[in-house]
Amino acid sequence: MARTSKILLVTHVLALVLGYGVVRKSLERGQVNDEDTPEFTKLADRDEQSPSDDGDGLLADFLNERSGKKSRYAELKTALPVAKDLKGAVVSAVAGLGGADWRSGLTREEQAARVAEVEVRVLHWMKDNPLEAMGFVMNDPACEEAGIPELLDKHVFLETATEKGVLNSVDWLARDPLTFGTLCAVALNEMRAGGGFAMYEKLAEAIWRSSSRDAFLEFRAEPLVSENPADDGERFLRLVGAATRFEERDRLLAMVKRIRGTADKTDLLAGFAGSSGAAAEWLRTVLKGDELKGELPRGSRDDLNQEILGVAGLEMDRRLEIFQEDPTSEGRSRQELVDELIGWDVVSLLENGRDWRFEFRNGKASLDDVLTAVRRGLPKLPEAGEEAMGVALYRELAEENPKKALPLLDPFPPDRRREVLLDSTWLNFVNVSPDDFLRFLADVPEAKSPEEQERKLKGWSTRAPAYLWRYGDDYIEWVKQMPPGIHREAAMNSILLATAGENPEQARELGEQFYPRKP
Amino acid sequence: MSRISRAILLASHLLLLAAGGWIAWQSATRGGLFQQESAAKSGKPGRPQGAAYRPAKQWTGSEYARAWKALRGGIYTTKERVQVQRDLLERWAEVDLAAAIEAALGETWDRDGGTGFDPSGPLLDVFSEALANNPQEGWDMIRGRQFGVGTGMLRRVWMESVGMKDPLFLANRVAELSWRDRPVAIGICHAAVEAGAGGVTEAGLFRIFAELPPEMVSAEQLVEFASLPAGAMDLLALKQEIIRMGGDGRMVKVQAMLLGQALADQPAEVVAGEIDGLPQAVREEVIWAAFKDSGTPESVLGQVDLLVDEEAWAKLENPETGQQLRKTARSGTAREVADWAMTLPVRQETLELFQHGVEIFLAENLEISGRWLDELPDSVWRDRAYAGFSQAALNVHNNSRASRWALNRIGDQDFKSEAEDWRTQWEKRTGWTKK
Repeated sequence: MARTSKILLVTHVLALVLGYGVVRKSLERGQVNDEDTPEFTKLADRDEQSPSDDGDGLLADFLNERSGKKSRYAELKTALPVAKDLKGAVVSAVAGLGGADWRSGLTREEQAARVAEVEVRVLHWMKDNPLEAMGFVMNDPACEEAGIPELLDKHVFLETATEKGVLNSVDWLARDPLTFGTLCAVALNEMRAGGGFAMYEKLAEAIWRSSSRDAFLEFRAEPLVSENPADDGERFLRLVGAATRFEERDRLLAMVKRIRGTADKTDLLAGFAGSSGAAAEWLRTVLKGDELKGELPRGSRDDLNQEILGVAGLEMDRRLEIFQEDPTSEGRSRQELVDELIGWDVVSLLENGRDWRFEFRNGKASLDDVLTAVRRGLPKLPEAGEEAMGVALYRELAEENPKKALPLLDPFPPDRRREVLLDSTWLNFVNVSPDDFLRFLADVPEAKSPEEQERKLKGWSTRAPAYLWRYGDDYIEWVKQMPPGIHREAAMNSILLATAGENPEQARELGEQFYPRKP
Repeated sequence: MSRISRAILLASHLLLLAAGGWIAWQSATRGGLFQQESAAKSGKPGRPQGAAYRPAKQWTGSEYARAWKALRGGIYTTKERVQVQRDLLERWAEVDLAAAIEAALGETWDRDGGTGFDPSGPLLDVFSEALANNPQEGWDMIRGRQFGVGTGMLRRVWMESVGMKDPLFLANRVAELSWRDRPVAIGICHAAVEAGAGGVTEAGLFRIFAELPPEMVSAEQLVEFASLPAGAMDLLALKQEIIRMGGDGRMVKVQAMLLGQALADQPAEVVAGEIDGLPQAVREEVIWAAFKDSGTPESVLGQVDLLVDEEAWAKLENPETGQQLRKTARSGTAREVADWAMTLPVRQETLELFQHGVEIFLAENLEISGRWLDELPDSVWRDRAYAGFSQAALNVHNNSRASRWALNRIGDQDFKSEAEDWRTQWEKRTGWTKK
């Protein structure tokens, strides 16, 4: 009996442990769905620690550090008392920066501590007298050697200008091209926070009066390099246009007429047109009228019409009206034009909004999630554009996870579905990993005719020059390792064709490697 | 055992199984298994209680890997996500370069908004600094194809970053690169030496490249690193050296190009005198190099005449010849270049060159060039000039009447119909209709 009790005890404990283990495991798997996740790195897991228990915390710490919330500078900002002699404290902190001792005598940690102290000392001085503090750090040789002005621009100048307001900071912020980026960032933040175009008008006037006017004009003609990903790579005036409220359109137009450069005028109007369907509609009316006839050359007007064409918030009929004026639309049906516009909209939505593709690839978002978001993002989607939306979305998502994207084609008639799959082999997967491309091909149906077979294999030939340019011999080796079959043969032949034009001798050698002569 | 006892036993086991599951569920939800998204996005610390904060610069590779994975639970725009990933990878590479590269290659290789030809996608160039600081480690990865086909993208980043910091390191590996990569690598070495990188001189790189066979480094590539021997203007010594070397090998070609570069702005008679006595193939190379480096209209036109005298038809057909002529014509001598073009021999190889010679002048002012045309004697070139005038009238001035005037004056009816076709293409493209 005692023996039976022991056995029963053990089996009950085992049941408890089994229940715990099964549920725990399934929960962990559900957190990042392994089925939806590409095989992750081998090297990244090279030590024994559990990979996911503290990842969120680590990432949160990293993001905080990145935004300056958790840094030596941030710590010192609250800890370091404000000195009575503000300038003296900066001079003392700066003493010894740069030079041989700086480069060889201090560890990186010690250097970071010294730099953080300089930053905070300068911040204290800037709160009191930014013009004087700025003048000192921009002209001090030790500061220059240690790269202090660039570092100050990232934290101290940005914070000071944000606190004082950009209009109160123009006198010191617009003195040197180094700080123009910060000036633009703060100005855009203020415009978006409610200052609107009226704020920009005052700023433009202040800069116009400053001695750096010409340097600033040059600066704003180039794309911004910004910490804010939304602004990075865009020209300042385009962002100004985008941050302008619809009710300020007449003031914007007045400025467009007032300023000289065609590129500047175009940037302001293009940015504004992209801000809403109403803004695009307004610009369309303005361009059709006489108001800007003498202001903008034909090329700029065409460019602006192209901008309007890309605004998904504008009524489809209005967009088609513009599209039909384009000579490239000649001979194309209304449905073809609708399809193309919807295709642009879907791509634009996915590239510029929430990163649905990344979430879809990694299992965070389901197909339904993405579909719902796209419908929400395209409120003017006409019924005639439904299919085009499905095709465009499929093409985007198939590059992330072809199997998971496949149900998007379920509502299509079989022939249409077949057509989309066959055409995706050469219309998509341009800069995608060849491994992913090969995985996608597994879902493409068998060809029913020589014509279909040609379409199915077309991707190898259209892609070969780009693959060879990007991956070089690593692509050739990859093709050699492909499983035998029509795709391997098509890939090899396309390599030979692409190489023959550039280097016939190499093409011949490759031919012998791909198709060795039988002894 | 009775049926009832068996049922009780089964039920008690199932109950404990369910209890185990419930405990797991509770501990998971309390332990933050589902708090990933909000923690990462809001920036709230999600570390387990009691765990001390450590700055990222003190992290191990494994900690970077875990933060990297956690990104999958967050909500970002594409630009934000790519920026966070780039920042993480840059730091991660300092402690474990290979793992960081592998993680980057686990993401999509496509860059938004780019053109079809994108060398390395949105993430890999972030390793530039790490690769430049560890050139051998990167080279071993590339040679071993450590990351499969994706290694190709890494090679591009490696060549650029290592070459710009230490051109000697890259130059010494050019022989092991494929023929597709060699011109890129040599170009990077040249850019680096011009920028004064790595303390290496052109002569140092010349020695390395000159040891490689001509099929790896051409004379045109080699001459970029060469300089005149024994004083910049010792042309006689150079000429003697070329004659001494004989043949038409790569080094002779290099010397010929050096001689040509030294003669670039000399009048054609001087160049003709200097090349006298040299083999024909070498003479061609000297003139060609002089022509390409010429800065004055007289020397440019004089040297094309020398190429004609040498019957260097392949050189005259080369697109670079036409480009140089257009550049010269744009420098305020469009009329002179057009007059000169009329003296070219009529051959298949000179048709394109003639067009380049006249087109700038024809397009500048239709009235002036129209009068010039009318004064030309009847010839093949005059017909071609009328056709060029028609094209300029249409494409530059949008003037269909001037185009018609010129087309009606073309004498050769076969060529006229060809020129009419060019106009028809313009009409279709612009939707022009006769009023």
